[in-house]
Amino acid sequence: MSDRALTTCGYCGHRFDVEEGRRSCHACSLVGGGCRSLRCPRCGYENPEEPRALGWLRRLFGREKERA
Amino acid sequence: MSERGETLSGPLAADGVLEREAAAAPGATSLPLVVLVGNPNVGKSVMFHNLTGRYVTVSNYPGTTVEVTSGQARIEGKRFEVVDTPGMYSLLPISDEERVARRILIEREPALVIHMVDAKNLERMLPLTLQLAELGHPLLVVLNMMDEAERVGLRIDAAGLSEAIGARVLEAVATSRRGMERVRAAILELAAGESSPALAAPQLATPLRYEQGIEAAIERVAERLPARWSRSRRGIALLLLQQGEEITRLLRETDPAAAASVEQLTAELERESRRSPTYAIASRRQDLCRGLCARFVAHPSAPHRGLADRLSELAISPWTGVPIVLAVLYLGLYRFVGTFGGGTVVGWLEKDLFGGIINPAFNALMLRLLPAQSGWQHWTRELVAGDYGVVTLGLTYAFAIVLPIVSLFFLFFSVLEDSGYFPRLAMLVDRLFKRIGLNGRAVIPLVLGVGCGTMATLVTRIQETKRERLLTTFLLALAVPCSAQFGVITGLLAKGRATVLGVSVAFLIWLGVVGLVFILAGRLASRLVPGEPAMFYMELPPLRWPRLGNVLVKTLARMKWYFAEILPLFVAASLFIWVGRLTGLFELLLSLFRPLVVGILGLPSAAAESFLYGFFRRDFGAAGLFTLAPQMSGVQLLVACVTLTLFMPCIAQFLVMRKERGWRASLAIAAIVFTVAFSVGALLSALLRSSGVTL
Ligand SMILES: Nc1nc2c(ncn2[C@@H]2O[C@H](COP(=O)(O)OP(=O)(O)OP(=O)(O)O)[C@@H](O)[C@H]2O)c(=O)[nH]1
Ligand SMILES: [Mg+2]
Ligand SMILES: [Zn+2]
Repeated sequence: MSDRALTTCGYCGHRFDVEEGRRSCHACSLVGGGCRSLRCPRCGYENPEEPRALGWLRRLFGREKERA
Repeated sequence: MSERGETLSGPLAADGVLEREAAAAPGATSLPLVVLVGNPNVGKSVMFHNLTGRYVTVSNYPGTTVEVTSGQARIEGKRFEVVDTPGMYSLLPISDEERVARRILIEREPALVIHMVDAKNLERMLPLTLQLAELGHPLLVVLNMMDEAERVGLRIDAAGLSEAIGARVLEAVATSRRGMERVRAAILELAAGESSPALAAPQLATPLRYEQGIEAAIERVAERLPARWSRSRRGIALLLLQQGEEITRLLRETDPAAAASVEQLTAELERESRRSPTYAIASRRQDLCRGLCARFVAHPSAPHRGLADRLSELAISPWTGVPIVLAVLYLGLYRFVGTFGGGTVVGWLEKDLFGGIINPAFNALMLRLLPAQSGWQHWTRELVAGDYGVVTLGLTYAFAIVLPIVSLFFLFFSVLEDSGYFPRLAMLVDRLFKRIGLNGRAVIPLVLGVGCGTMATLVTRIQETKRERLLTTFLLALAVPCSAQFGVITGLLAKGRATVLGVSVAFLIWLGVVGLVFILAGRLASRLVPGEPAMFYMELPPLRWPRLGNVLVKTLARMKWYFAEILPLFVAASLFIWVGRLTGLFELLLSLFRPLVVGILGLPSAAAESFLYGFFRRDFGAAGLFTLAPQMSGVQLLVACVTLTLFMPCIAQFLVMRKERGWRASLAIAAIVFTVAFSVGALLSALLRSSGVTL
């Protein structure tokens, strides 16, 4: 079984698969690049996704902590 | 086709090879077919592996890129072909995956359909159970994830539920193989055709009947269906009536005449029904499922009603809910975003930092580098520096005025979002919004609209019907200020001398006028656009303390989107103004605007510029207003604020409107908004001036 990242919808509280939310959000930015939203399969609310840089930082610190 | 068997070893090997070959050609076997279906993430694949063991075939479903896994189960010596389908939410498919799952159910004749259900979310999953029951195949419902359901204290009366829906219902925990023996026994019994006839096709204790018109149409469509669908007549007729296209195509291949008459019947039903048949059917099912859950699911008796529960109730009930929402808006929007953000922070950044330090220094630097007063040096200097420069104007607007206000707004919004307050707000205003043709769901786009109308117009997608999306888009364009506007307007109007209870009178008048326009326009539009308000109901997630990490991540994500979206427009606007001034076009446009702004609204002629900017972006216009404010009287400022708020949605919002709603709707909205804004502005200006008030 693949391990999935789950996220909680900010509107209805449903927990769903990040990958699935990503798939169902259309590229809706005017300038391009997409809006990076996670669309909740239950209520349709588009939850903003953590910016890439932040996730990167988080992992960096996570690893730092592990080493310490 | 690819094989995903593991390497063979030991005494199993010979048997394994055999099984492998049989499984390699799904559908070719004459084994009874067992299909696993259900929402995504409910444990279908775990159940599949429990049933089939190691040797499975993964193949693309014919004509698609969707992978379907099949394998064999052996129960007491009898073999079955088992297919694991992609997750689906309903038999009315949206995604390719869902479409494939449905095709398997309709095109191949399953001996048994196993509906895997997340026991924690029974109410959300039961509608699909009913749809499957209507398809008429033998049905086994597996309440999976019972471990998690038990952990939260849910108890489900499986026997009672089974009786009510006329299909076997079993509890299971697929991951720990709990309940597997009974599942296997049920497969043997139901799929091998040894069951009693009563169990073969699911039969609801009280049959699910729809509105008369729909029932009549079902009957007429069912009559025309080919014999091979005999078992599923009712179910397929229902699907045809709701979202026929794909199934109609399927029907056309075999029986074009039947397809044609079915299409005609569907169109007739659409025309004659008061509300969309799809909606009528879905809400009928919803009601039934709610009833079933009320009867057969026991929630943990809330032993300790904590503070959160009590707060939650207060937030929903009208007598306490309205004061709460007013307090939240007053503190969050007026105090935090408006007077603190738009007043204090912007004042400091715009006047002191950019106006006092950065811009003069940059201008001096440019003058040193490009000293000539004419020719290319002059124009290049004008492009980046001076009153309209890309750096001095564009960046000042973006970083000194818009950035602080917008970030404070998104912070406020994310706090509300993470606390779980929005669903409660939605319930609270549902009744009110019904009067303007909307329902509780409109809360999210409308509140977000106070952040950025462009973003909010995209978010109208969460609404269920086209009509609601259109109405919300219209109101967002007309009567919902974006946060930069709101911040600047509050910051400016809050300085008015006259106050009531600590809130400036000018601000209250602005709020009253914009609110009145919102309600009147909403009521009028809901009368003019045909259709009825859609039903709204949602389970409430728990109310909780917002977590700092979540709030920051969401705020940052929204800001990132916002700036990726607006910075290019800011630069483009500055460039446009530069080119316009170089060619005289800017002056020409201004001279068109001036008579409106000066003559009709009674504002100083410089205000025409902010209106022109406002067309690029609402926040840009608001920023222009900020720099202009000292030249205006209190009344003029108020008129300008009201008109700018109602004024034309900015280019970005217009583009998104066009993308989401189409040319016709967006041009119509733009025309209406423009007319209303100037009419209301003119009226207010005349009223205030004739009454001689000062603010
Ligand atoms: N606690 C618990 N977890 C389960 C149970 N059954 C499945 N899971 C977990 O739920 C997750 C999803 O299981 P899958 O079998 O992949 O779900 P699926 O229905 O095939 O999902 P899709 O293929 O995406 O439609 C996995 O992490 C499983 O370990 C169960 O009975 N109890
Ligand atoms: Mg799966
Ligand atoms: Zn949701």
